[in-house]
Amino acid sequence: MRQGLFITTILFAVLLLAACSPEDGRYSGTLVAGGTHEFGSGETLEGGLLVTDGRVILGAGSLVTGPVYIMGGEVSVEGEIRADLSIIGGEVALEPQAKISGDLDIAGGKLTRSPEGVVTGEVSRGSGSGVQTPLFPEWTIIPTPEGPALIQRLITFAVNTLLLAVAAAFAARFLPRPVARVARAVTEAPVVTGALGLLALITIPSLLVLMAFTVVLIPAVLLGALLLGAVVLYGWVSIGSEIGYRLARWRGWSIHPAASAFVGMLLFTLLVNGSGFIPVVGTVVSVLAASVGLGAVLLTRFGMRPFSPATQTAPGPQAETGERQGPI
Amino acid sequence: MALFRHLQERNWTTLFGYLLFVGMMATGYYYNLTFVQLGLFDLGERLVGMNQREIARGMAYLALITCATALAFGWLMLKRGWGQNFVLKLRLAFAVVLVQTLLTAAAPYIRSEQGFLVWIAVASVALGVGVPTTFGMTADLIPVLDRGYVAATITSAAYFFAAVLSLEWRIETFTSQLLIVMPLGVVGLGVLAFVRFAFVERLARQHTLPEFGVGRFVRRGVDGRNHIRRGLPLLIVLMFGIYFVDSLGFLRLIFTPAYMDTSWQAPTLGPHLFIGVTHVVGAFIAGALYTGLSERALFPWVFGIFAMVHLMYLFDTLLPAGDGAPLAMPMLYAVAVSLYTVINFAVWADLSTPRTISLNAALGVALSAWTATFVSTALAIQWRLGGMALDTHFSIVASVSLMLFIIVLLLAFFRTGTTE
Repeated sequence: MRQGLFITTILFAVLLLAACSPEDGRYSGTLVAGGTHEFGSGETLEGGLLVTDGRVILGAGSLVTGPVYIMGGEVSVEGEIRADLSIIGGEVALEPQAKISGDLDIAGGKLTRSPEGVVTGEVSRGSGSGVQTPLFPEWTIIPTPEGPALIQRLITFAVNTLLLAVAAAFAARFLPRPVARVARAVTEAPVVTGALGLLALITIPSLLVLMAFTVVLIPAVLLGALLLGAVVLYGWVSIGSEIGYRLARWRGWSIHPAASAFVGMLLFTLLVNGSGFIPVVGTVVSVLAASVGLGAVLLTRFGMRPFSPATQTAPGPQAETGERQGPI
Repeated sequence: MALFRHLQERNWTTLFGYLLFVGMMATGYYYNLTFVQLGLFDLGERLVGMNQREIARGMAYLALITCATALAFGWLMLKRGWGQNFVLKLRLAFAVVLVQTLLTAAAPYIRSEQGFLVWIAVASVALGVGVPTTFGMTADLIPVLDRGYVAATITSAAYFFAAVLSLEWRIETFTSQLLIVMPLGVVGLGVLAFVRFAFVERLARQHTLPEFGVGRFVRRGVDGRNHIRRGLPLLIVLMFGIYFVDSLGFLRLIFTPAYMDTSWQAPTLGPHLFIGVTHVVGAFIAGALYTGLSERALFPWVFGIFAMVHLMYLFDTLLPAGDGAPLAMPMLYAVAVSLYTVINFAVWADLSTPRTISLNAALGVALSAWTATFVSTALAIQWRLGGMALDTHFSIVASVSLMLFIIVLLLAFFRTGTTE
């Protein structure tokens, strides 16, 4: 049954990838990571365009049929973009002849816009500010000039904490066993879960960046990033629920598990987010908490199976029968 | 960890055993990483004046002689029961370290190809004897429960110092560094091996304790005898694959200044420190996972990371260059290397009893590490000297890595004989 499911999934993935072949330019795209590239009148770029570095000139009369993402470098737009233009980093100039048929989203970088340049859709400021990825120098995102005010940060903090606590309460109410399995893995094997989570946190973002370079897999990257976030959140919620459960037991409260999970998550989030005000310590605490939770979710297969460390289940040689090779 | 219990109980003999093993193995591996793998190239090319093809041939001799000696000596140790004789292993280790120290001191004075080849032949025999001898001490000195963490400590120490101290890859630099430590090892091992101490005798009996002797992947069958899983040959093949893709990629990187000058051979300390710390983090992740899961759980990660990092290098060669190669690539490389090195230090002992450990370690290390290194070194140098482009080289390495990754995933999924 499981093997059949596995093979079906693999086949489905292969078919999905095959369907993404750049036929007729429907799913194709262009990645510019360096150098100078000029597209003149009458030239058409089929699909999307991702610019991470270098200089791109979309000259007058040129056309890009897909969305354009600018993460770095210099881009001058004099032609037409028949989709959205998202600016995450770099320097972008919208010249008088420029025509953007979709939305213009500015999450970072520097935009110089001529009043004559046409944007048919909405113009919005995104929330991707302040993110820096020093391990990938070409992908440095320039922060927006103004940071949020203190009161705005406090409100965001309070809302986030409350939402997480509500999520924990729901998880404890509707998924009590999976959450308990994840929490048990955290408490019984924090080193192993933390190690696996840290390994996943090191490798998965790198994998997503690698996939983004293929352009065609950018939707999968977004999906993967969302999934990673959801798994980390699941781990956190499980840790919060466990804290609440232990707190209730310690204090002798006879409250519903959902209520104890709410309280536990509130405390856990306050602790982790509060440590963010201490330099270095905050980052370390956040990474450790995320790692332990993520590792526990992975080791319990999303809470579907209990996890016991191998050395607890098999401490050295055991008496055992079965299909083994000859004596040594 | 058993270490904490021994600390609580102030069991100084056992604690000394930990220190002895970690010190010996970490120094030995540092020697292998720096002097043997990098120093000999510099010696052959700069001081002796050999071309790279001739040096590659010399390195191939080194791998083959070491492999053959390790197998023969491992078999001899099994037949004579030397694997259970700790004092004899100490004496052998003393002899090996003494020979290597003399060879290390003599290396910078070699000026002829014949001298270079003689040096390699003698060093190979010493290294070949050293493999079953030193790996065989795991059963005497390290409790089964702690082997993952001890392997992590050895790996992280060797790689950290290799990354941080090796700012220039010159034989004279390596010689001067090693000649500070190795004579201390000769004296220390000599005293332990030839002077009778009560605590050494206690160490010599530790392999008879259930906590130490029999590895965690050995099972006692209904006939009362110890049995090994069917997975030993498969494990050797998998380790061979890892060493192969690692060396095949890294040996091209070594000769690509665009990548080396921003990472392993950067002129500033920062990148060296970053790589060194990454090795430490990677090693302890591997130690924890090896202890808490099994060796099977680590293989998909190692192959997956190697496939990913080789694809990253391939993409980097295909795309127009930016301001410099990102540190993410050496970071992932360091993680993958640390993961499999930890497995290599722990797994052969965990597949063995004190009687069989020397031969199993020789089989594992010789057939996977040395043979793979020999094949991939020869291939990498042949391809480069034959004019193969960098992107073609990386596309082949990435393809092989991806293929191995898929095979390992399938093996893990379909649960072959190696599974629990």
